[in-house]
Amino acid sequence: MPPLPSPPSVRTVTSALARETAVTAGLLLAASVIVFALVRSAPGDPVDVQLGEAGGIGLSHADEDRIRAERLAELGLDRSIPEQYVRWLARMAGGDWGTSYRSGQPVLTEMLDRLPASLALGAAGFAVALVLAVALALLASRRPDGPVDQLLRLVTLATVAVPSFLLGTLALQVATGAVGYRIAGPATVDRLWLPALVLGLAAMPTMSRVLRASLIAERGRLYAVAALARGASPGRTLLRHVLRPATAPVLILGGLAFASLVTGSIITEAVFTWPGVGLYAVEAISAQDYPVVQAYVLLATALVVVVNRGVDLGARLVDPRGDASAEAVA
Amino acid sequence: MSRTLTAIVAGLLLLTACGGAGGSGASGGAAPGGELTLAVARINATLDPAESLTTSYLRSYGVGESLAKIQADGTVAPELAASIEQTAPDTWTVLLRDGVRFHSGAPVDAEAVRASLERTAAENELAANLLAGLTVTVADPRTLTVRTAGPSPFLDHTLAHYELQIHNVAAYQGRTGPAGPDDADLTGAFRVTGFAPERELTLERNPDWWGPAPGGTGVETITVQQVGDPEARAQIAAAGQADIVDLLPGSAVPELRAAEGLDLVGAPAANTVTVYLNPASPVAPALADQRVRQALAWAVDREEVAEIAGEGLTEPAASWLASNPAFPQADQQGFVRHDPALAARLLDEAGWVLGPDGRRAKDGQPLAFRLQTWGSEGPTGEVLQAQWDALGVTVELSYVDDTLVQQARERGDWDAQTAAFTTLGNVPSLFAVQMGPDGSGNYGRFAIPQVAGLVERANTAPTEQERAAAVLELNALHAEVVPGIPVHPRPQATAVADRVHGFVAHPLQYENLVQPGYTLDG
Repeated sequence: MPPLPSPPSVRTVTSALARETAVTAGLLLAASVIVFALVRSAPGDPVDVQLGEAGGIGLSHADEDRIRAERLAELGLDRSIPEQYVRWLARMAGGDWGTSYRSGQPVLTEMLDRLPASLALGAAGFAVALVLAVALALLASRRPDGPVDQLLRLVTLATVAVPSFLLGTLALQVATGAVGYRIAGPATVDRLWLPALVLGLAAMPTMSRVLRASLIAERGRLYAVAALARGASPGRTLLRHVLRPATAPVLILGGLAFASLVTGSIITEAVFTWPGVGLYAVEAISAQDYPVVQAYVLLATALVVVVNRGVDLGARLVDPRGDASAEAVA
Repeated sequence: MSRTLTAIVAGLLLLTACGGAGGSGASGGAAPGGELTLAVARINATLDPAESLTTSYLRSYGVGESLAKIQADGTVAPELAASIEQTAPDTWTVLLRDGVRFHSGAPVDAEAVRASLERTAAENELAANLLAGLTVTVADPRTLTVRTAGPSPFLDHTLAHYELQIHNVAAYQGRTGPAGPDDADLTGAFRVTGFAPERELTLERNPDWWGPAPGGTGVETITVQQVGDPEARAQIAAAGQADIVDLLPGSAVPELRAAEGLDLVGAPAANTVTVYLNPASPVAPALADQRVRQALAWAVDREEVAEIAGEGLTEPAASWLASNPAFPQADQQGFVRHDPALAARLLDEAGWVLGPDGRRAKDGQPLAFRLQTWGSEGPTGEVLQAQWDALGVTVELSYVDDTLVQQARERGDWDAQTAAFTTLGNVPSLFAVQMGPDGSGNYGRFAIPQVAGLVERANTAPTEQERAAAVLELNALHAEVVPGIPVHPRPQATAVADRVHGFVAHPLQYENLVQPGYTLDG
């Protein structure tokens, strides 16, 4: 095993932290512009939705135009897009995430109310993905390109090929009939397992394949061969020497996967009526509830960027050469 | 690692439960006794009946009431009012029921009703439009006088509108945030006990409700859960996990018809899915010719559309008004049969003749147009495309988001679009909206000179028969000019568990989900 470098100095850590913070802030600012532009470039606006739902009220063109103008002014949507952006950014920076057009509730309150459900689902999905990935990778790496490896490759490919909405719908159908799975309701443990399983299955293939590659690479290294030559059993060599270094790239990948699972489980939350931020976002999108959509996308972006940069920084601090994980992932 | 993750997940779920992310935590299963569970596509966004995205839902779940109520046969009956009578062409007298109270116990007197209508008009632009030109005065504690700017024979329909639910204004004043369960103060048979926006609403019976108590085991508590995904709702219905499930997808109808323990109710809605046409389209100039529009309407096999696209849960609408149960004569107006021969003759007369390739053309230009559908009208568009194709007309079909439909209309860049206005209510006004020169539903900007006179007659004729005759003339005019091709009412598929008795198949879905008189088995 190559010698590990000496721990970084305090100055190095501080400098790296400052640089990462600046880069992260810049990324978030850029993301905020893109988010705002994308949300506002979608066809229609919240007033369209409101008027559209009020079918049957005998409005003349003049009445409709007047109501539209009044409502747009009330929501601040009659201002120019750059002005709206600056005002929104200033409010966000001050901790005011705005108010939902539909419920009249502060967006931050509604987000915080739903975030634990999404975090629970993301964490449970991640756990499922990790357990399955480790198990399949251990099996597959025992004999690279052997029958078991080929079979598991097929399984992971098939899993990654099935769209999550289809997997979710099928799972829901089976579980409802077989074990009486409760489809709607609050975020409880008895409802968590199924969406977590679906989410975990979707995230498992990449982690499994990376871990497999890493295990095979580590098994071929000198220290592992030496352990075997000294008479250690393959199982002991795997558990005591190979598994830990081989898991490092998976944990880096896992950090990113976790962020994606928490914020990117929109479809799973919608299929399972799981009351998290993803479902909240879906409903906001259909109602063109700009403050909610913008806050959600920015939150998701922030989480991914922060985790990404954090993992990056951690990896560089632990091993400034940054080659071990890159090699395994490649 | 896995132990840590388990601990994290457990902690988060605990936090979720404490934070109320799951609403009240009531069971989603079909509960025994006096508990009723509903799984619905959407629940109210707030608890304030003056908010336009809230009102119909509160009415739907038995929380809110108006002065009058539209019945399943399309007629209007008093609700909070004991009677609503037109005492002069421009004057109505509303006598309130004696002893009615809000959920808080405050009396529902004439002053409270006037205050409620005034607040609704001030807070809700759409309701303000309904109340425009009305002057409401208190004659005595139980009597209101409503004067209108002109003759208004359909004011009772207006007062039955879900946007005009009567609420206790005092309960909603002085709030700094959105209304909570303690603020909601209406009059319905059920009152709010818990609310998680867009997730769950819980209700309990209002012991002081003015109406009769149900015989047998009535509903004591209600849990309404929002389940946005139609397929999930269908599975909930099939698994018996809720007593009433609304807006079921057509694809689930065969399975749910065969399912045990539930009844699939498919009352056609009081709206008519209509293909609106743009005579000013530069892409499809043929639509400017009335004969072409009539030909397209005669070529529609409505029975087939209703059977295929509506899964048999709807019926043909020969004319636009046909989905209004108060005007059964409208079934005999308009396009009462599928007549492809007449359609072909009209097109021939208009110069759009059939070529050897089976396509119709005129001066080298093919007879073709674009049809945009949205929402639940996708299958309808597909069947229509096939039927018009058989006539030699090429239809470019697209299924899009409703906002794209609206935008195309605003740009004038459209040929044909589906839409479904409600047909119940102030019917002359609804015709004026679609056919009048300034109507917001006159998408094709048709200029039809007879409309104003007929609307005037429908509003001012001295007898109800004469007014109804004017309405039917408007309907016939709609079928003659064809600003839109009526096809069928929107199907409303609702699953009702066998243990629920008293469900009323109503053409307005917000009037049928929760009935005060429900009784439950087991």
